[in-house]
Order: sequence, then structure tokens, then C-alpha cells
Amino acid sequence: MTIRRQYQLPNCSLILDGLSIDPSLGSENVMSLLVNAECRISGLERSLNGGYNFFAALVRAVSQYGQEVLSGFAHPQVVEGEPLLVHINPGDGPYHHLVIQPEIADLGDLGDGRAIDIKLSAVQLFDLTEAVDQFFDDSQTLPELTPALAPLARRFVRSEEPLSDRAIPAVLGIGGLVAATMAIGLMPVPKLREPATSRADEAAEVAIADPADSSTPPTGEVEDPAVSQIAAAPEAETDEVEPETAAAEAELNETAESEDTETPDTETPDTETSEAETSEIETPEAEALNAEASDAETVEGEAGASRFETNPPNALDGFENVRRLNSELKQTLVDNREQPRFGDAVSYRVRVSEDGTVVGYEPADSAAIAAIDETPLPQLVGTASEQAPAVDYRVVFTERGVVEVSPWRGWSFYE
Amino acid sequence: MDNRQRMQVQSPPDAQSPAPKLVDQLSNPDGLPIECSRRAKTQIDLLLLAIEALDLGGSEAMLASAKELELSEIIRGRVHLWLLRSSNPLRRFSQRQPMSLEEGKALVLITCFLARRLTVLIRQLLLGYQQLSDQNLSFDHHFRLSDYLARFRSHFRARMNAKRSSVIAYSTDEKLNELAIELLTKLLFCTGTEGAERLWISLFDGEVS
Repeated sequence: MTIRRQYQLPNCSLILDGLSIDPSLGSENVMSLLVNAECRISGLERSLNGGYNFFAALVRAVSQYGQEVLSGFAHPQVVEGEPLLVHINPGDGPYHHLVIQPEIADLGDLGDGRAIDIKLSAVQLFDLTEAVDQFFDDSQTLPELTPALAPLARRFVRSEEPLSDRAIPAVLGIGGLVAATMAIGLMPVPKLREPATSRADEAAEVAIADPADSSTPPTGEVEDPAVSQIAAAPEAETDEVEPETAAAEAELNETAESEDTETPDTETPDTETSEAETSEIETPEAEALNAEASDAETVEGEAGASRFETNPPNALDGFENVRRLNSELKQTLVDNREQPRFGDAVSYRVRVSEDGTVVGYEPADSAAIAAIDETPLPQLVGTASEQAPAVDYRVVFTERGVVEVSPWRGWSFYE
Repeated sequence: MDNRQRMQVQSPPDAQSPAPKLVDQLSNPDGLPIECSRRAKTQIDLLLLAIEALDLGGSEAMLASAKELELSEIIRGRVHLWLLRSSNPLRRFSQRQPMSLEEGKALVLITCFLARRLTVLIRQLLLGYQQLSDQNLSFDHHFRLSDYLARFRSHFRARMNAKRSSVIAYSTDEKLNELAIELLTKLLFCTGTEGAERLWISLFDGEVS
């Protein structure tokens, strides 16, 4: 039985002529064999005619291109590996180009071997798409052809975001790395204590590191300890690891008393180090130099009331206590600040005694030193017995004006 | 019909009515993310913005059509609709709130429903645009078209955050006109038989693996 199906729209109509080859009940009206497909587009002198291959390629290209119009991403208009027989490309302004290869469509006498390129306006293209969709919707006609609408996989899409937006995370990451590298570079080289033979080299290292620290001349009592804290901070950490260093330093503290000797002290080893390097036998002398060099730091550090060499003498224990003091400290800081502090984040190590008194604080870096007067910390320092149990907290004044408090040694330490 | 009405009366608080919902007619292709992407939120809001520029009562019509399409359970009133539209990251007061797939589907259905009502106007404007650009004439020669473009530009400028780089790209009248025409073309495709499904699927282009 021959069947004709028409899908008509103002600017486009599809006319399908075919046969039903399945005589069984219910499917006698299903067009399962296509004899001829005709596509009429308004403004076009002659219609496009072709067989099944032409029609299948046309509906696929049209259906896929419809998605391209909606999303802006190019959809593959042909099954991978098959020749591109019908294709639609975006054109200038309101136009699109329907390109049909000559071997697939019956072009009659006009065929000159070249692909035909039909310029379609947006409305014409839509009418063609709608005719195709109506065909897909009609389950009685060539049911094996389906629209196969599916989102485009990620690999077909290149990012639409402008380069600047995409570059920001990368720039932030690299910037962070650079900042971290510089911060690490600012820290003095940690001293490594080894058996006597290597001490000469070590003295040399200290001598090089120290002039950099002393480049800021001591101006007053307030700044002085602060400057030395930078150098002293890592020392406090090494103390934890090597208890013997603390003992050694205690000894050294007695030998050197004056603060002003810093510069000469550090320069002397510089000249003498060369000697030490040339003759390894002179180990005792080198040791003395080393002692002097590290003295300058320690002594000056002692002058600051707000500096911790080690952990509290009597560390407060117990998760509950630590947590209670944590929230108390945070509340105290929030209550006592004049206004939230904005700008780069600064952090401090703050020691709090059992009864909640702030015993002292230690800025983490030079920015923290500079910003100390913007924080309520200086006015909060009270007196408490040195032997009273205390906990160290890390206090961060974030760039958005938030105060963050956490135990210096981490929550997990107390759990 | 009777059956459904009775059920609604019997169990008002439970929204677990087994009645088929309109949103279920839109498919859930494999690999769909759990919520609508930034691009989806942007696209939906811009299409609705274009509808507002076409139809003065557009924002009221959105609420009315939500009722008409029985989507009130998903689009719960004016504030909720505003919040959903404000999830468009380009908005001046963009709300960082997720848009669920169901909410996305509901908005797609509303968009297509309204676009279908405006079919005649959309076709006229696109035809007018085509004729004007054929003759290299300015849009001022077509009253309805220049009206739509002007209204779209002012809606866009009033509501989008001009500091975002993707909004800066539309800083000139020409660029905004191009966007308005592009959205008009998309709205035309929304009016088709498969318009809602096509729009819905297109929102996830490049989002599935």
C-alpha cells in the first residue's frame, strides 16, 4: 500500500512517499519503506528530492543543528565515520547554510557536480526543524529514525569562559606558591647541631644569616623584641625537638649580657670563619663563635615580654578546658576590638593561662608586627603566675575582619 | 480527573501525589549533573528576560503560567521565582543558590509555554530583522523590533552586574542587540513541537561526560 505523509509549515514542507510492507494488523499504516522524500523550501525554485539516505542524513543534520542554535555548541551532524552528505553551517547575520552533496539528492538537470548550498533564514530553518520534529513525532512513519537528542559530551566543547576568568585560579595558585616560597626564604636557615667536626661550617652559616637580621637597627624597646622574634621563632620550635639545645643556650645566656654587641659579634665570626674552614683542628674556637653568634639573638629576644621560647611551662591539658579557653579568648578579642580589622590576614601565637588571662603573644611575621596596634592584643596582656597552666593559641585576624582562634598545637593534640 | 482532585483533598500536606507531573515529560539523559549548571541558570534567566522584553506583562505571565501548567508545587510563588532567576551568576544581586533539575524543568516549560504564545510576534520580529539586515538598514525602521531591542537592553543593564567580565562583553548597544536577536531565535526554537525537550537538553551541552 502506498502511503504519502506531509509535514507542512509556512516556509517548508516535507512530503514523504512510501510503502507499508508489514501487512500485520495494526502496522498496515506504518510507512516502513521510503520511496521518495521531497523537501520544499519557500523561495527555492525547485524542491530537493532524494531517497532514504538523503532523508535520513537531512533529518539528522537538521535535528542536531537545532540543538546547536539553542546551545551555541557545534553538534556532530553525522554518525562518526560516515560521509558528510547533508550539513548545516551558521552563516552571516540571520542566515544559515544547508549544504547538500550532489550524490545524495536528485537534482535533475541542474546538477553540475557541485554541492548545493541553500541559504536559510532563521525562520526558514526553524520551519524545517519543526517539520522534521513533526516527522519524528509521527510514529507511523519510518519509526526507526529517531531524533536522538542528547547533551553534548564535555570533550566536544571548548570552554566558553573568557581567558581572564579561567586564568584567575591559576594565577592565584602560582601567586600563592611564590608567596609561600618568599615567606620560607625569609626564615633563617635552621641550625643543625652535629658532632664537632661539622661545627666550623655551621658557624659560617650563622654568620651569613645574621647580618641580614641586624640590618634593621634597633630603634626602641617596642620594635626591638619584635624584630628578633622573627629569628627566634624557629628556635623555639627546634627546642621542642632537641632538648639539649635549650640547655646549651641557657649556658650561653649567662656569657653574653649586652644587646648592643650584636653587630660586632656577627661580624667577627665572618672573618674568623675562613680560618675555621681552613684549619679544622680549631674546633673549640669555632664552637665559641657559634655560641656568640646565637647569643645575640637569644638575649635580645628575652627583652620582649611577649615572646615564648617554648611551650608553656605547665601546659594545660584536657580537651574541654582547651575548648573553653578557645571560645573565651575569641569572645574577649571580639569584645575588646574597636572595630573589625580588614586587610591582609595576620596571625599571632597567644598564650592564655588557665583562668583566661592573656599571658603574652607573639606575632607570626613582620606583617603581624606592623598590625599589632590594630588588634586588641596589647591591651589584653595581664599578669599571671609563670607556673600557672597555660595553653598557646593561634589567633588569626582574617582579611575579612573575622577573628579565628585555634589551639597552637591543633585540636587533635588534645583529643 | 475526579480521582486526582479527591486525592489532593485527602492528603494536602503530602506532596507525594502519584499523579504524573508535567516536568516528567522532559527526559533525564545519562550523566546529567545533580543540579542545573551555571550556564543553564544563565540561559533560562536570559530567555525569560527576552520574554519580558517582548511582553510587558511577562513577569506576571510567568507566575500565571506556573499555575496554569500546575507547576505551583515547584515554583512556589513570586519570591521563589525571583530567587531562581537570581541564581543567574551574571545578575547584579546574584543569589548563590542551587537550581534543582525539577526547578530547571519547570522554568523550561514556562519559557516554552510563553514563547509559544508569542510565536507570531517572534516570527514577525525575526523576519523584520532579516529584511533590515538584507537592506543594511538600522533597526529603527522596524518599530516593534527596535522597541523589543531597547527594552531588552534596559532590562539587561538594570539587572546584570556590569563588573563581571561576561557582562562587560555586552557593554555596547550592538552587542546587546546581537544577544537579543540570538535569544529571539532561541525562543523561536522553543515554540516547536519538541521545543521544551530541545531547550532542556541544550542546557546541558558540554556538561555530561
